[in-house]
Amino acid sequence: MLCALRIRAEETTFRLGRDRLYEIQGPEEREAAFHDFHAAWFERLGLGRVLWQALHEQPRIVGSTRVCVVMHARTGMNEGAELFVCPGGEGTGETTRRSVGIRLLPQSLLDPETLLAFLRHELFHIGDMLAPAFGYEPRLPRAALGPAHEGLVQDRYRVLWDTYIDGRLAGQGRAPASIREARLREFLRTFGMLGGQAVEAFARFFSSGPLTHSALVAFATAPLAAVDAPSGALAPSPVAARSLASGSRCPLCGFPTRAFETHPDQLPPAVVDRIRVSFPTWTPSCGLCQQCADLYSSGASRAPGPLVR
Amino acid sequence: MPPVFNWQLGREMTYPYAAAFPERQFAFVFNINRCIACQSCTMACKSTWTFSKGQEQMWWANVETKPYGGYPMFWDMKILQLLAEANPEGLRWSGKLSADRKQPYGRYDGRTIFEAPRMLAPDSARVLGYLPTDEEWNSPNIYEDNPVGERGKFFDWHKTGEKLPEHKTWFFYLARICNHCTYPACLAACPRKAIYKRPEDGIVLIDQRECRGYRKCVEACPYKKSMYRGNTRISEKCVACYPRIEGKDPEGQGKPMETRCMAACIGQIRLQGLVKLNPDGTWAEDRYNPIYYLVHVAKVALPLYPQFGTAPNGYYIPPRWVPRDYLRQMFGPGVDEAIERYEKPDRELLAVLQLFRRSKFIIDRYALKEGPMVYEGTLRGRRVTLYNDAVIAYGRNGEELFRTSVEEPVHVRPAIHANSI
Repeated sequence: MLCALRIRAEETTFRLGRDRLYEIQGPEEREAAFHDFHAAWFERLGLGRVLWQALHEQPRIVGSTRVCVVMHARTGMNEGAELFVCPGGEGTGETTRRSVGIRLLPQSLLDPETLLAFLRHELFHIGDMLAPAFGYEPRLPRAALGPAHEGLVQDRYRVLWDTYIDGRLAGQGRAPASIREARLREFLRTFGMLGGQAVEAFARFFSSGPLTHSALVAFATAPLAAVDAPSGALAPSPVAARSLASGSRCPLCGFPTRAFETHPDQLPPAVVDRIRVSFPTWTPSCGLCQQCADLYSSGASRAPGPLVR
Repeated sequence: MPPVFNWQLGREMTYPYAAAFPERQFAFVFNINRCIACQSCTMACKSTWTFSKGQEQMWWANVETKPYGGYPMFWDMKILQLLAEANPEGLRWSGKLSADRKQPYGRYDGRTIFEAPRMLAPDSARVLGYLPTDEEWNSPNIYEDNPVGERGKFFDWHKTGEKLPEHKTWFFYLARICNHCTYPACLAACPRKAIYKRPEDGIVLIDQRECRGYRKCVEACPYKKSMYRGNTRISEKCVACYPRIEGKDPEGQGKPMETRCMAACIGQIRLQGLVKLNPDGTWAEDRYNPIYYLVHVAKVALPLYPQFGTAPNGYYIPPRWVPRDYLRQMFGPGVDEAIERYEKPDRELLAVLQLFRRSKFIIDRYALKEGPMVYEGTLRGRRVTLYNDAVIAYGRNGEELFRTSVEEPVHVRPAIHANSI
């Protein structure tokens, strides 16, 4: 509030009004008075204008949620918007159970342009969550390859969703032109394994028509299989049946690697069987890193019997 | 601005108000070599003064790990950076250490936070400072126990970095409260004159009825010990447990008691007292006051960042394993001599160091009673002789508070009770 006032002649009026509240003796009463006073000045200075504008650009949010609460963010990383849904109770409708929480640093209110761009993006996420056509699910499906792969899928999903949102915002003229370049850079970093097909795949998310949550999940889970599918199809596929690009993650351990086993098809059947104990859907065509190949080879060659004699 | 005399800088300096000194000054000595960061002081203060709504992020007493830790984050690095910008020619000291109580550490030739007018913004500001962000107040224990390693190598410590006299891999705990400065920056900056220094003991307080939450004190205090409370819209700070200093804590039965953070100190690093002042603000000769002795006679206790110019009344015995250039920046030019004396204490210093935390009452005076020699040997090539001298502590009215000895009394349990209490 004081930062906003520093550039206005109204600071004296603000100070005079606020100073009077210090005379209130009761601590609770005084705190309530401060709250009301600051709320009134918040409106008077128009600090909430951008918040209202961003919210009204998303009529689905306004119509499908009970309340929107703006909270103080602890750090810059903590800024963002979230959809909260209370557990259902008798007689409570969907709308009544939903609320939106926006976390902001107070100083963010002083830069309306940046704030509006930020809020548009964040509220688009909420809008997608509320859109039946998008089919949002709060939890991503469990990855067959373990928790490391789940983290990877989550990261990819975030990039895809951000790309999809900013593509629509750019199409509506509500995001700066530079956003495409920024998102493309992030996409290329995340989906380096697509090689020359990455730019084309990016266009599917940035410029194409409506997408769904499941389409994003499918691409995030198996990007290589998805680019092989007919353009626009973005269908899920079991596992990539092609060689892994250098720098992508081993399907077994989930770590990025530049040393994939060059001939996984020549692994002895005992090794393949041993891998399949842990990864039933794995085939040599999925590939694996040299370290995993060594690990499973050494395990397979070990003489049967107790490991500790 | 009228000139005032700052003995820690060995010169006159500018300050927004004319000098005025209390009858006695609240002061304390922390022996960093003993601090284990148990945070007992922190919690003693918290549970006494800052446990209410709106004070969640408020820690009047805290212990931080140096060099990376800080509450608020990087407070000293930030103010030192500002001070360095105000002193392009460097934060220089000249002269030599001396017995002169007006210039014990030589003379500071740089600008203080009150003497950097070119840097002040807006022009009406009186003190060089900055307002920490909420984020900086949120993590009082950030970088706890993070040591300094080899320069340029992340998480790689010196393999033989623990050898004295200076460790190459090091950190230390810095316990801090308000320094109840002789020239408080918070007081200088307050536009409403809501901050005052008590004439009886020099404790710096914020008048809660006058404060209007401008946060100029928070911005100005270089030690960042003035804090803003969001729900009352008022700033608050350490009150030096003044009811205890006044002898009004029922536990003390009228006798002045040390603050809660001092009394709770597990590591026995703390000693607090009241020192007598001369009309010019220097300390009046009081040879057997333990604080006076540690600061002006033994010279093992040094002010924290004296170059700020506020004449803080908190003194520290520097940690002996830390690189000296870091310590010189933090405690001024007296560091080498202080560590030398602390490492090789004479009979009196060894006895006075036993006074720390033997009592919760304020020690006004001490006396020594010589005891027998109990040890003779060498330590790192030096000859060492220990005597089991006794030290007797007296209170304000001359009453004996306690007596203790250099050697801790040892009770050998009879064999029949060896494993019982």
